[in-house]
Amino acid sequence: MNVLLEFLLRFVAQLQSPTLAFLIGGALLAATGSKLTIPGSIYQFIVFVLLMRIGIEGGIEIREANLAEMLVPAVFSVLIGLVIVVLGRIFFSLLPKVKMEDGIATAGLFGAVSASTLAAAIVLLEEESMMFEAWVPALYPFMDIPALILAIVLANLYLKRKHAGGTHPVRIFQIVKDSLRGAALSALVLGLLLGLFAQTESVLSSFYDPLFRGFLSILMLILGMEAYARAKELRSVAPWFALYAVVAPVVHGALGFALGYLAHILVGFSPGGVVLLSVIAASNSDISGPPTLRGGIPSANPSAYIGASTSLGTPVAIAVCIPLFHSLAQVVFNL
Amino acid sequence: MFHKAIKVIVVTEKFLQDRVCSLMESCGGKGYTLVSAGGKGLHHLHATDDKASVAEGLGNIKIEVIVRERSKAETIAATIMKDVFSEYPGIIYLEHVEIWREERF
Repeated sequence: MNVLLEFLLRFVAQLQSPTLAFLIGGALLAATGSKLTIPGSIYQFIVFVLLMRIGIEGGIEIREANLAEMLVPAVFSVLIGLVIVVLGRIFFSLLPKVKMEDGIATAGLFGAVSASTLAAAIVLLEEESMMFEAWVPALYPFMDIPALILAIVLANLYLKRKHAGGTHPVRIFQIVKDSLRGAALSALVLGLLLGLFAQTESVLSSFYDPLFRGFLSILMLILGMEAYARAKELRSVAPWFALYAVVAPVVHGALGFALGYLAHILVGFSPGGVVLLSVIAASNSDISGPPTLRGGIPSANPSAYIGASTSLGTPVAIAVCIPLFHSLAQVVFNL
Repeated sequence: MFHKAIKVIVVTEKFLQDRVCSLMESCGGKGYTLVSAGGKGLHHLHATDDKASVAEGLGNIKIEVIVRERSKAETIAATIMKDVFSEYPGIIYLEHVEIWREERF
């Protein structure tokens, strides 16, 4: 009961946090038909700055870290990405009137990771002074890439059975290459390398760090606007996709929390790390995942998987899952 | 002086750009022009770059190639129809144009 009360109080407090307020503000703007738009090039620049800041910060701290500690959480991340896709495949196969490849593509997107949700969670943890290992953001590709590959493989196996051989071979190396070349992951990986090997402290403290929160608020505004715009598309597909988009982030986050807790017992994974792993698991790819799935599963309807992810999945991950797993960690770890 | 030529125009999603361009070149196009696009199709409005789209590469692009022979234009269009538009949305049309420096096309 206490956990529930604490969660409700925290949730109300989160409504006033800039992150969530801007998200809701964006949706309100779009709902009123406002002419305010934010150009695509500014959005790309913001994603670059956010991921570069997370990467450089991580890279600098990784210099002193023991990377062997990363092994167990990295293996768990791969596992979570794969399990999410399998669970989604089973969920959608039990439902009537769902085109299977739409279901598998949706599961793939929800197994993959959202850079914006990750950034929002990092801001909350920093505000609450909850420590996490510097390499935790680097778990991103370990969950993201396997989930996308498995979804594309499963969809092609399904289509092969259905059409007896009328599908393309799955080019796994190409998927890995496409994922790493995506805007979010390229900036994150480059940032990690720069932080690790170059003297980037001054540029971090004078440029990337001061911009971080402000830029995140604009990103949230864009996500809110897009969430409202895409909701119309989601209405054109089966309502199961909306149900999945609301429930799946919480279930996936709980799975992330359970495995994070196991890593805490096994190798002393930090409480902040457990929260971030849960949020990474709860999040669904909004930037780079959609084009990879569009390329890998051409017959899947993007209105189903992008609609489910952008209009409901991401807002649920940010508004519900971040405060939920943060307050759960406070209770579980007695913070 | 101007010479008669044919322009093949393809409008599709940005992530298909590389595939469409390499097909144009393999079918004899010597170059192409890329323009960011937006507009309304059969299903819904596709925004231009003036409005951010969260997912990468799902905005629209207009790819134009100019060739001198109609047969080459037909091959380009037929190949793109078969290899790309059997699975993805997009439109193809052609225009009669006049060009200077015909050796470039």
